[in-house]
Amino acid sequence: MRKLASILFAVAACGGSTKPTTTPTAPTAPTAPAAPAATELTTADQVMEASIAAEGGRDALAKVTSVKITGAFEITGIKGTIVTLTAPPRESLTTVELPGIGKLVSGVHNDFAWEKNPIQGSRVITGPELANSLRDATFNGDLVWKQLFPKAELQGVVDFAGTKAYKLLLTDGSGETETRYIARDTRLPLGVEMTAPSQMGKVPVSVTTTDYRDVNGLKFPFRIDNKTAGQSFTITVSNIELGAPIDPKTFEVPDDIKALAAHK
Amino acid sequence: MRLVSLLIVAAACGEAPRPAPAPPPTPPPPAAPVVVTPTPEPALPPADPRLAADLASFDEMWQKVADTFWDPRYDGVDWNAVRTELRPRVEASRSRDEARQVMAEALHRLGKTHFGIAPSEDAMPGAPAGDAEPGVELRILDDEAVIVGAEPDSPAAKSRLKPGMVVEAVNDVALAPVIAAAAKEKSSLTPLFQVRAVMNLVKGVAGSRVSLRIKGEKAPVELARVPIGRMVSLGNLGNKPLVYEARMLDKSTAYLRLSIFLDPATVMPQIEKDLTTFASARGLIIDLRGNPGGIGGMAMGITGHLVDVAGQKLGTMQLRGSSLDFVINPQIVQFRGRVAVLIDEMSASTSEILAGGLQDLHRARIFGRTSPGAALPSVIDKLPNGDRFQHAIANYTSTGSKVLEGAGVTPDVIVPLDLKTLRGKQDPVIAAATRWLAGKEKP
Repeated sequence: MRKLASILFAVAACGGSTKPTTTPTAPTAPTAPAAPAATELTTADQVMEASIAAEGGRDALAKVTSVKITGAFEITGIKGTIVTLTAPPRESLTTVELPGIGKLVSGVHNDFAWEKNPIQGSRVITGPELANSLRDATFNGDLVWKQLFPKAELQGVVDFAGTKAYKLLLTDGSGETETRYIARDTRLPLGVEMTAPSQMGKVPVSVTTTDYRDVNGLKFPFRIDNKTAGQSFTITVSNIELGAPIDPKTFEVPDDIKALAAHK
Repeated sequence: MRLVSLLIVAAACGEAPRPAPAPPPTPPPPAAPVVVTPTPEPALPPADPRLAADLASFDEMWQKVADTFWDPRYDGVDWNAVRTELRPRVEASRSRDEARQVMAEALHRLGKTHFGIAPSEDAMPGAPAGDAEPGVELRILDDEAVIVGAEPDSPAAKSRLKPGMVVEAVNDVALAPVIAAAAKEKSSLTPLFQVRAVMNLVKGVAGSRVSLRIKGEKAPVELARVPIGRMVSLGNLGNKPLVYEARMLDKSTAYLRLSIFLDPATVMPQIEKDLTTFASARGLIIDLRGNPGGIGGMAMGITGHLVDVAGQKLGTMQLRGSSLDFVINPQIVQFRGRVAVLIDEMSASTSEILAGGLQDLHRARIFGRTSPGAALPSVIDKLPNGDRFQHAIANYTSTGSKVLEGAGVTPDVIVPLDLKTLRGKQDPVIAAATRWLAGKEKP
């Protein structure tokens, strides 16, 4: 399962990797045991594993077979809805409906990523943005973070969003980085900063995740705030459904997108 | 959905609340970006809730500009000094309107379009009321309000009003002083603000009537005010009327007019459908005269039906610390004939991005008059006191590296405002474009 924060980073921030990652078939075993919450963490491995443990633990996360997230989406006074569906190995479908704008849909299916956008038109996602999309769509991505980010560096304890946090610099195989902040006390992810690849260029992004709640024994943030390029938007989650059956056809590439891809 | 899709949702909204004054003298650039002093926390909030909300709004407005103005040197404006000087005036304000004026003055110091403060929609119940009009199209020629056209089927179109007539007064209010006052600060935006000042008198509540006194005529023309187009809304931008028109002008010339870039859920599929219908047309006219802008991304979406080569862009927006290209996504439905885009001094923001981009790509020929140069991508936020705060977050340059702000788009074929041609049989700008599309003039 991909954690909500990662899913919403994909929605809101495009992630930070530029190199495609191999789709994992099974979560890898942790290389470093998670440290007890009371002790100070001293390595990146410890922080990442402690974070996974705080979110519910590897075993519990690995049992989840699909995720459906429903919530409210607000940007500059436009209040809409968001629904995200994800499933293994890296299937993803996100639908945002905004009054005055329409329905924005994006998806990842196998090695193909696409977007239907009432403003800018439909498109097939390519280049670094595709690599980023594929990485973000990796189901249970947190459990294979070492595959996604071969290099991880703990840069100390800092203040992030008013909370003491471990600062982690994660680097993917192509050298792209993202900085994650993990709460020193709860070990839960507080947010991420990155320069995200997009069709239009690289964009600095800052995301904070708050209001963690328990869902079937796992911890999920129910509020995500995103600041990017002078603009902010907020996702307020209303429901998270784990393991619900999702028809595989849901993730199939729409015919008009296939036609667009063929047209190119 | 991707990040940038969202960014473009609100970027380049086409309202230019204040005229742009002449740019302040630019001092030698400092070696490093200006250090912005964070807003100090007040010891105690004022007891008056109105004042507390207005001060919080001033602080938030100031901080957002500090954080997002694309030039860390604020284009030579001492933003710290602006706060030092003007915050005490908000503290001393006796009403919301007074505080609002101080905030508007602070933004005015930046000398850019797309910065402004407006009351919330909530403070204006029934916002669409007051936007009704008789459908008369006005422009300014030699400091006079000249009729250049009328909305089809509107009260104005059905009246004896004709292009080329000069309106001297609206409801017995003489227009000369109104037009002169709007030209107090000379800039490329002056004609736009002059027209808006006149239209503020012409517009009113649906069902009411307005009286226009025509130069040289004794009896005024009485017209009903009606809703023009359909009302659409977009978040903090509020309600706006939208007119979309698509038809064949003749057997070979298609015509498409959009009054504002909003409601993409309806407008973009309609454009695709109409372009499919127009496929056999030799030429296409896109009429953006009077279009103040709207959702910046729609310029890319429309261009995706005109440009079939991937990797092209309309231009680039420069934000604080990054830049984003207005990339074109070629669509399956393509119009492959000649394209003429019509603009004038009221075609702002997204209209300029679209026209300027197509011009640079040599995909369209531009007809009409130079646009106002109000092309800064912006967003509209809500302040603690409920007011709407529009602020530009980026500069914009076209593919040809032209900065549109303050300069505008210069048409390839300039069709000046002229009473004689206005009084002719055909809209002179459409006539010029049609001639070119028909191949009667060189591309």
